[in-house]
Amino acid sequence: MTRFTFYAIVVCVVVGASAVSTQVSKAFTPFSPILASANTGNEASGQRSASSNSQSDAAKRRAGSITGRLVDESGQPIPNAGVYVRKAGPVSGPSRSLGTDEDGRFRADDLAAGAYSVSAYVPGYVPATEAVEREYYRAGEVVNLRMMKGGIITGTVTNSSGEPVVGVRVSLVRVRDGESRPIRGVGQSGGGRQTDDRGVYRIYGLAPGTYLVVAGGGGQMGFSSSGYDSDVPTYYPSTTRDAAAEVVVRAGQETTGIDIRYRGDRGYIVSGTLSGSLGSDSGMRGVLLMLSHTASSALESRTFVQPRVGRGFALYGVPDGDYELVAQMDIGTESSAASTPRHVVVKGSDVTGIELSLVPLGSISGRAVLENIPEVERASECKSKRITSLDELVLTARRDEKPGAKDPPGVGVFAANEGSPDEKGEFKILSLAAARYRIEMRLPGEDWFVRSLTRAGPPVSNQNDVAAAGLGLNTGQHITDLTVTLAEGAAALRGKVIPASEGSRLPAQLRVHLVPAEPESTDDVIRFFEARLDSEGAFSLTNLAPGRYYLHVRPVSDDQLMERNPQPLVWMATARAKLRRDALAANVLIELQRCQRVTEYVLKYTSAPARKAESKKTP
Amino acid sequence: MRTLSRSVAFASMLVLYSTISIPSSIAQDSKKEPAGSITGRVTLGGKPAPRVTVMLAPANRALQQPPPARATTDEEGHFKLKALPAGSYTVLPHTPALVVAAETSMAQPGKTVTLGDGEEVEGIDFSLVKGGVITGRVTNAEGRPIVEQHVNLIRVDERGQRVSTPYFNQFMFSTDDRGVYRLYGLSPGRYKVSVGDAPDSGMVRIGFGGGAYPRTFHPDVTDESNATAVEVSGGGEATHIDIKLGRASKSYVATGRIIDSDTGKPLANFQYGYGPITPEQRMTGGFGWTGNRTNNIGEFRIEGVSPGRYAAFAVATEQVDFYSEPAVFEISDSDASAIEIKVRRGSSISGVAVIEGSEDADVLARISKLELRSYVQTEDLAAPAMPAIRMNPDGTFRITGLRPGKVRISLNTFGYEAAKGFSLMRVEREGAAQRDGIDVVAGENVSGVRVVIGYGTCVVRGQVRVQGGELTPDTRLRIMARRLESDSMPASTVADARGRFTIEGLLPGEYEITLNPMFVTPSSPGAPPPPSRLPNRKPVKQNVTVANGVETEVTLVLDLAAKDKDGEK
Repeated sequence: MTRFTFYAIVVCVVVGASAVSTQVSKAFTPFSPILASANTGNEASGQRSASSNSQSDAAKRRAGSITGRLVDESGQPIPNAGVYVRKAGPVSGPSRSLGTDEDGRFRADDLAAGAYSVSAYVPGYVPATEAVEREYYRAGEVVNLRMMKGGIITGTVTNSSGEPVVGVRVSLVRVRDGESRPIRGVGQSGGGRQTDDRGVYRIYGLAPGTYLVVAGGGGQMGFSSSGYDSDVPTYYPSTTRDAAAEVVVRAGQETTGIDIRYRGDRGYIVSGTLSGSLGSDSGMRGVLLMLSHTASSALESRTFVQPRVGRGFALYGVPDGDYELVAQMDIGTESSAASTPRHVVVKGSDVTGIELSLVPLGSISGRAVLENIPEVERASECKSKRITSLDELVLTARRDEKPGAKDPPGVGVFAANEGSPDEKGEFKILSLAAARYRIEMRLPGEDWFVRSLTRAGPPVSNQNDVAAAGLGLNTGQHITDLTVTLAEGAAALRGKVIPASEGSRLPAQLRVHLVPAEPESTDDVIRFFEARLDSEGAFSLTNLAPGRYYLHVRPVSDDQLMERNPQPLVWMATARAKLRRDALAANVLIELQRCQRVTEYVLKYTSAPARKAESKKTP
Repeated sequence: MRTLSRSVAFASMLVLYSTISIPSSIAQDSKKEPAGSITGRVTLGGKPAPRVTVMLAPANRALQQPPPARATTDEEGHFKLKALPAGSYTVLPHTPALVVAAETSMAQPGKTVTLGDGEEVEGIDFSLVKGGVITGRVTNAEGRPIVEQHVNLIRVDERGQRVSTPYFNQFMFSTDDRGVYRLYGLSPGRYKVSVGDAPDSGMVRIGFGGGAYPRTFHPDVTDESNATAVEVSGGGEATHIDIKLGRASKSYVATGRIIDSDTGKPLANFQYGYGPITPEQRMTGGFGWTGNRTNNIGEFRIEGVSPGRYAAFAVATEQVDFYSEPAVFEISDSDASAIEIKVRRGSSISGVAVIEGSEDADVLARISKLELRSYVQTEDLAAPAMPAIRMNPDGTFRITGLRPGKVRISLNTFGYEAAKGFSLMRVEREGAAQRDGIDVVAGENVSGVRVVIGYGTCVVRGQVRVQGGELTPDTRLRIMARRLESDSMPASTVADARGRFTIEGLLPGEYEITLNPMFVTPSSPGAPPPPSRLPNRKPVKQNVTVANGVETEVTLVLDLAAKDKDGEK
């Protein structure tokens, strides 16, 4: 949406401006709809070559290269595009800014050991497959990025006399993705475009999905210079957010005639003062304020305040409604802070005198260790093992919420919530608001599995408490004693699900579950595994702890179908127990040995009539 | 990278409005509604312009300031902005597709009005004409659209020479997914349209690893003098102003290390940037950085570098105790490696700052909100200046990381309310004023420096009377107030549409008020500014004595008939 090259000019003001930009950039990460993430396919894993990690100290951190190719939907190379390689961890700038050559190829050499995400920027294009989870690559891997032409929404904005409204910003709110799953949380989809002298706007590079189109509003992020900043935004066709008409965008298609009759109603002011953990108020550090709708969590307005300039804040042009207001700063850094959400009701008048106090955000840190392997077992070490190092691991702290729970407004939405160990295995996940978290792990290669997730001190129960119950984090708390123990010798299970009776077809959205068979593992969440089936019915489960499992196939629940990135079923004790009962009833048992690679496993699916009674909830 | 794209958006926004000044808020005192008002009339092509939005904003624009107040013109084109407190304002019609006739102004078009308490100002009229449009399509050699490319506009005279360009909406200069651009609201005139990077821009690109398009003018020429000047009339539309770009040039990577000059050890976790240098080994002023830091063996990596000569340096966004020697490198047709940026431990200046001119505890307490800047004069190629520092509540301060040279200390009064009324009076070392700066040698820690900051509430209100002719619309009257027998920086302002001006926050004493008429010389976005023109005329001067809390009236007479002997070339 924005121009990519950056021309910095002249002296001190620019110094400040760029410093500010760092803050803001962190804040804005999820707004950008234009970036490709790598395909979630297996194409990338084709060449997991060994990397040398046994050399001199400096060279040791050099794991090698990530290479790849960027193509369009017809497989044609996209030349001279920007490709960004970012090391996993707290939000920061890209590790590498690359350009593609005439053949669409790119190459990042001399990368330090680590896990990297790879994305491309092609104006007007979107990723061919929308990745819900970030994909990571390690040195030696090949990345295939596929982009397709994005959709377009175009129309005019006119006033009540039918005259064009010139220079008003038109932006989009993406409410559902291309598969009709709701976009949760802050759904604003980019900075939008201004209308021209004819009132015409054209917004391009859109991912498939359902959008609301809105003229004006959105808040000020710098100087106010437009004549529309104190107006209430007008949603297509000429209404408020609640009554807005939805616009469907299909891949690469142009949706025309989305004409807006601009109302130009004066909005209200929501204002107050910031206090609390603002650090030293020197420099150009800034606080981002976000006002989002209580019901939908969608962003209504935002602004940016530099405490150095003044601690007062004000959001203009706010329509009547129920909102949550949060302030945050330095997200992704050690000094990150945020306010607790403040409920704000705007009804017919300005809301003033709001005091927002920022408190430091919490963190989870600890150590990843590789379990010592007894000499006896060493003999049976897996063959064709990839040499892997701990710093190629990625840990993500994910909120553990009741299904259907609303996203908390604002706080943390812009944080990556991820950490990656250094060469000593030490990791840190920053900028975490108070919540219950689960630690999700993305392991390099297929040889490791997660043995345990523990904290120092005696375990609360006989089970591994972190793995079973997650981690409760209080406001500003720093948990520092998490130990992730990994072990070598993981097993893998690949195969196919077929219908039990010949001639019948598999229902869509099936999942294969592995349920630990040992009775003492009932609550050992890290021993549960699940995988979705591809269109051929094939599945792949890797990084499995050796042991005995029940195999079970079942359709994804309606609730989970409505989620873009549903949280694993087994996080909830009741769901876990039910899954276990079903798996026991199905009674398909498998024992996986160290390093065992089971392939071409065939699993029969019988639809269980009892399943009908399963949870029926409002989407 | 997504983070970067956003950072670009915001940074460039700030860059465009690089004047940050004290926010003078439009007070909203509900008890006593202010009685000031500004009225005027808006016409379009000589006829009344109804339903035009007229905006009013403080004359000094600042961050965190409310959106402009507004009024709408009636059927006769009249507008009235009411309930205004005294202050200095900019009034302008918000008509992006129309242009103010004969108006050429910089970032802020419109008229400045200095409004007294309860004053009713009339006759702030605007005569508009329809703007012109230039539209076309930008493609590559194969005819594929070039998306999201910035379009540059240069206004030229009959001979093709660059002339000043009025203010434009900065959001319209990008091509869309079809490669189409549409520039509107253009003052009638002649324009050259180009796309791509100018070789002499003096700027650098960061955060993009791809190649750059060479600057290409319509119709597909790279030489500015061969470009076709597009004629734009009021309300007219110049179409098919297409540009076909050549192949993007390859960009390169510059790598190296940042090392401690004393120990030779690599320095990890340092930020770094780079900028172009001139053949005279000077930085052009343009530079950029991404926020990336050196790795644990001190290595840095700068991507997307176009051929040219550059200097790389360590960047500090907070006060540090080092400075870096810029490392010069050149890129022609391959990557540059083994560049070594040497970081040296800097000298320091410490001391205490005191406020003179007030006993008010609230005023004295504001010392911890004030910022000191330091600038080192040097003949060498130097990295960009350090950020400003804050003083402690007791007034003590310490500036570190200074390179050797003559260090000038200044008070940073831009950007925040807390600095209002303060100005730097002098800097003393061992009781002696240091007018030319403080000499600091390598490794020296200068202590006992006294920074004397004055606080004043004096106000000069003035009126410029123009005789013997009329000012051209592109003339601005700049007023400077210089305190006699002091080292403080002069305060300045620009007279409003009625020739009025106000300078506030002056220290008590005798001032020389100088009036300098000047022509505004704005530049179009993305293009270097045209040479500035100054009227060849003696400034009008007058001395006044001001006192705290007192408004002093001044009248300055500008006689246009009385020309200098060697004036008007």
